[in-house]
Amino acid sequence: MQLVDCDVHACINSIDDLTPYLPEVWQRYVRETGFKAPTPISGRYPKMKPYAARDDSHPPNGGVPGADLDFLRKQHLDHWQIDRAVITPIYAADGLPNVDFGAALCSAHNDYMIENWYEKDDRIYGSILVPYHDPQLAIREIERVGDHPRVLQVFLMAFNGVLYGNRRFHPIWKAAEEHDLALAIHFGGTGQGQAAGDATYYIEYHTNMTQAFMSHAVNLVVEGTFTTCPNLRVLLLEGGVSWLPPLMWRLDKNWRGCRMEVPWVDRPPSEIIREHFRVSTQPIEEPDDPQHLTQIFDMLGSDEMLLFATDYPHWDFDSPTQALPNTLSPDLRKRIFSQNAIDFYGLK
Amino acid sequence: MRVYVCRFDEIADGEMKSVNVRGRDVVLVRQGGALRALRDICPHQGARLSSGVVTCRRVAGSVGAYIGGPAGEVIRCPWHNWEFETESGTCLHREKLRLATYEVEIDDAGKVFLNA
Repeated sequence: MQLVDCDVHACINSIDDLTPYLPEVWQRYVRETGFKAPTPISGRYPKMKPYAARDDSHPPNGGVPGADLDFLRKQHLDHWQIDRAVITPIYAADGLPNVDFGAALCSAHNDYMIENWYEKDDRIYGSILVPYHDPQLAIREIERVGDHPRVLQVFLMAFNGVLYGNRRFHPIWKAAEEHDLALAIHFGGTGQGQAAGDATYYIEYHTNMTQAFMSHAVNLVVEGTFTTCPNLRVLLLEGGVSWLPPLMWRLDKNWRGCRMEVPWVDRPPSEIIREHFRVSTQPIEEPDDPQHLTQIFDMLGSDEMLLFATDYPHWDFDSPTQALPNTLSPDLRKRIFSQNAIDFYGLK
Repeated sequence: MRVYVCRFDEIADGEMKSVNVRGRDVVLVRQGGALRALRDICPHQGARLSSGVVTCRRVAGSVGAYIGGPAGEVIRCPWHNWEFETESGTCLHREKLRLATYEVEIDDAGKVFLNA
């Protein structure tokens, strides 16, 4: 059985990795200002381990977990016999308030990743960052690198203080659609992720990650993203799984009563979600009775909706052999572990 | 059975009237010169549709476009806003769900009869 891992993090060691890819004027800006990195708010919540990484994932030659391609190959791709891995970048350049610097940094990051990762191993596919605060700049970046054969998606963090269904973003998603790129929304970001108030502890930040994904899913549907972009594909990465079936029930029910408000949503939202959205498995919920999880899988329609992910090298990594219930049928395992991703990304 | 229920001019255009025909609640909805008769109970949770509103269909279009269809085409439940076509009784969000409809006759004197 093939194995496709939809969430493998590749990191940079420092801004020094990116400066050669920046225009001279921004190289000078980095030197003169002492800029080190776009720091996400999640830095306020120590993530249990340095870099939120597995203790065994620190490269033996030093550096940041996930920044050493050879070690990542050995420890992850080779060890688990992963056939294809989609790289998900951990770099918040896309949300920098200075959109021009952010755009330059996104481009540098994309070029660095393409040259040093996406083109270095046939198993590896990639994501790109775009400065989403400025749709024109974001579209320009999609047009610049979106057709690279190893690039599969535009990558966004879920906690950026904006909802990506908002109409001002539609031109960006239209460009992504036209370049056959998916939209991947991932746990984390530059803002708070939970509703009703700021988290006190990381355990809240992590447990309540689902709330932001709920908001994005509903917002993308009701703002008519898929009316404007009928072929757009969205992957919710590292956002949990079990919340989605009841969300679809709630949204369908409210659509029946509130349709006049969003007449462009011309069919039950659950149909739109099932057609356009996919969700990754990690971090999979672990009920005491694994059958409860398989019931959720049934409700979700996991024969199409679920894509396997490990989140390597992070501490909440899911093992390809241990994370999912062993009661899944061989056909469903094949769908979740490879075929759904192959179909979603249109991989050959 | 043909039953007299009211006079046509008792119902203004775009308005509705609840009548009881041999123990069955029926709502009459006027759209111009036409009069529709539908079962006056929402199949969702049993509200009396005649306590709701007669309105128009919202036409699906591009994002941000609010386009209304002809007035009187739709009756909306007073509780959860389920909507039904007044002509066919078809639920707007679930085609297979239909309210019972009844044949309406209006004689030359303006008397309204239902076959119910």
